[in-house]
Amino acid sequence: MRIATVVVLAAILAAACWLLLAASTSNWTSIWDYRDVFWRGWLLTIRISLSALALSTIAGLLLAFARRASFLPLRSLALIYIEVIRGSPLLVQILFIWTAVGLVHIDDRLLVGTLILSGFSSAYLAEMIRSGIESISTSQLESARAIGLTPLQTYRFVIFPQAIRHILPSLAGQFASLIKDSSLLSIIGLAEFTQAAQQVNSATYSTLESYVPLGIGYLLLTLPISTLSRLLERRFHYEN
Amino acid sequence: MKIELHGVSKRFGAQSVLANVTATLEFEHTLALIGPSGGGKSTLLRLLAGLITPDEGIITIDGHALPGSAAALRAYRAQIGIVFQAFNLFPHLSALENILLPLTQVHRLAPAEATTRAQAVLERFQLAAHAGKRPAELSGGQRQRVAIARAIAIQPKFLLFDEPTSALDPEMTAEVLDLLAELRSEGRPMILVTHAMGFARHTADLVAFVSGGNLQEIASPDRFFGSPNRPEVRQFLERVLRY
Repeated sequence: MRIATVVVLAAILAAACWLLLAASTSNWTSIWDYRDVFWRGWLLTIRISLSALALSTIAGLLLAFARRASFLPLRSLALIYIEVIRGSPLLVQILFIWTAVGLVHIDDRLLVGTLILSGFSSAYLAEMIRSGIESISTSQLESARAIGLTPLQTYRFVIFPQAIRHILPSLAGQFASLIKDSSLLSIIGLAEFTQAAQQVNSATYSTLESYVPLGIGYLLLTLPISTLSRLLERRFHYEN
Repeated sequence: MKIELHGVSKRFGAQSVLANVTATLEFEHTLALIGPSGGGKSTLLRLLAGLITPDEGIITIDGHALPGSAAALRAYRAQIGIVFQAFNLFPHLSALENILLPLTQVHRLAPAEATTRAQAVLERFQLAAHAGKRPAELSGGQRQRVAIARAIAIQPKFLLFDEPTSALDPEMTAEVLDLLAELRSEGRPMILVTHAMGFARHTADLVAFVSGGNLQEIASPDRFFGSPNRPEVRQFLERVLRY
């Protein structure tokens, strides 16, 4: 069954590629000349994604704790932040923040771009982490208290190991989204992967050719995440 | 062991669960708390466990008042073994890891020493073959025995059981009660909330009847089951022992 699926998918892919090649003006040699541009763009996308992944995980954790804080103003602030970020398009946030920081003469595209992406992703992560924490039953928390664990130890040894299992699929999805969303940073002229493809496109007058490596390049980053997520899900699997 | 309650009250929202309880419970090995559901016996046990604090009143155990601050209560809880009705093992940890967690993280034992001690307890409870299994792979009786092993491994001052068999079938209940009877011989004081009347009668040396938010009767098992003073107790026993 699995082999049949792979064969069918490969056939569809081959047909699509053939159509693409036949339809295009086959500008592949000039694309190859620009491989360095693609390579550098791809590396920058990886760099932005990794930094944003780390930053947004930390910020997401802090936001999730803030959402659960007993201090009301902190809780409200976190909620407002999450709702505003999740309620507006990333592209609008990029344009708005880039213009705003321009007014105070900050023009480090890489820094600002990474921070915007981290801020965006952290709002989604915060809600996932919060729901994961809240999925742990009160009897588990009571057991942790009964054996004398401190609140911090309870998070470390009881809540997080169980919560991660619940939220792993959505976390993986969010990390893949983060990589794909980084393409929107091309709008502020950050020379990441999508921007690189657009540069090549305008330099070579090619059409579809420069977007084929672009798609493949993103898939090379996102597919391992879903594979890794499935592996981890299997490893964390246990029944309640 | 001597437990003294001085004007202890506990409310949850508008509902009063224990109302101005003053009593002295002195026993050698085992105290059984018996009574109808919602009568306050589990709340009393959770107060004794330091999991909740009274709204009013003072509880002393062997002359020492239970602390009020969160940190002191945590230190107090770490000294006693608590076993709940069910679901008190951590599902993501194996039986052995469940026992190791308090030993290494709360009692700060070296890993080698903790492992030796945990394995000795598993061995003693005939659970050695299941050390690597997670709770989902164990039967209900085995799970409860692991929970008891976890409580014993910390070498607690005393043990608290909150209806330890009420989620188990009769065979598993017997398996767990056998273990409790064996623990009794060890001399570590035990307090248990139970519906197993026969067990309370044969194992406890003091029975307290908790109903309507108060301790209605405190007596030896023979007196309590043979000739209880209060009509509520007689009615309760007639109901639960009818079948």
